[in-house]
Amino acid sequence: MNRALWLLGEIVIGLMLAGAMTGVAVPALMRRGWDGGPVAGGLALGIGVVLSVVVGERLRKTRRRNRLS
Amino acid sequence: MVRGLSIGVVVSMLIVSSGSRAAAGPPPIHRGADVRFTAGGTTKEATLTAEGLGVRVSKRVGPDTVKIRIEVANDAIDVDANAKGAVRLARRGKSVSLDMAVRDAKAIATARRLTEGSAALKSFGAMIATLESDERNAAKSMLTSWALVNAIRGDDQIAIGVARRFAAPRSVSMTPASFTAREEVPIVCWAEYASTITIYYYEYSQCLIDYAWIPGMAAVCSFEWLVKAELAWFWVIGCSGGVPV
Repeated sequence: MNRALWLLGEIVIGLMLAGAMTGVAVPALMRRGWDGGPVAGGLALGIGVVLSVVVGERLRKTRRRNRLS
Repeated sequence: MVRGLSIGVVVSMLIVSSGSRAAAGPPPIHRGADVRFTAGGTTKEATLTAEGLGVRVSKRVGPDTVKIRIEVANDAIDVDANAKGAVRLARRGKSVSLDMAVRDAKAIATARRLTEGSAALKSFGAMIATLESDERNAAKSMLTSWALVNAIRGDDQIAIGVARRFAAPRSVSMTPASFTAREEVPIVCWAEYASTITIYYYEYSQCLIDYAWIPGMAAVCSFEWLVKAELAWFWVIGCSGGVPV
């Protein structure tokens, strides 16, 4: 598959992952009286996207290696 | 410019009112408890009535004329205008006629004196305040009427504001991904998001308590929560202008 398309998919999945993470984390943290504010949201977004890209790239390289061997 | 604008207000009233005739049917349109619109008319004349906050504004719009009556319990103002710019304002048996193309200062002063302390006009102003963000044709029609009444009294600012408001969407050629009216700041967006997502979480918990005994319903609850959480997340990204910070 086209590498750029793969990367785009990773970013979109990263965004959704960050959404799910904050969906769980924000209510749990608010129950404990802590609100991270928009900075925490940005942090979650960054973590989600980076995590998704790292895992996605590893997956892509493994797929390619398996296909070549 | 102001002269052209005044004629433009009258013409736009006819256009907007014609639109309301086509868009709105006979049954009244309710918007909360504020203003109730009733549209009707014949093939030659459209009628629109707005009632709310103790005032009743009725409009009869023909091909080239518009007749407006603003009335409260003890006061009423009548405005007759045509597409050529001739306007007649009447209150308590007295009337003044003026040409919007000429805008005679003496006639404007008379119109101002005639409407001074008018309860009908004050109530109409209050009604307009509730219709400020209303995008329906009926509400726009009322806004143009308010602009005309004020233009007759020599106040063109409202007409200019209405003209700008109606012209603004035409200049937008694309729908941007982030919100254009940046009234919200990230902290406000985040506060809205945090409260919404917490409510979603409680709804999810309640859904699990209420329906998890049904086979497969726990998965349905989880799916519903996930979709709502993702929508809220993309909303906060859009609200903040791209990144939620």
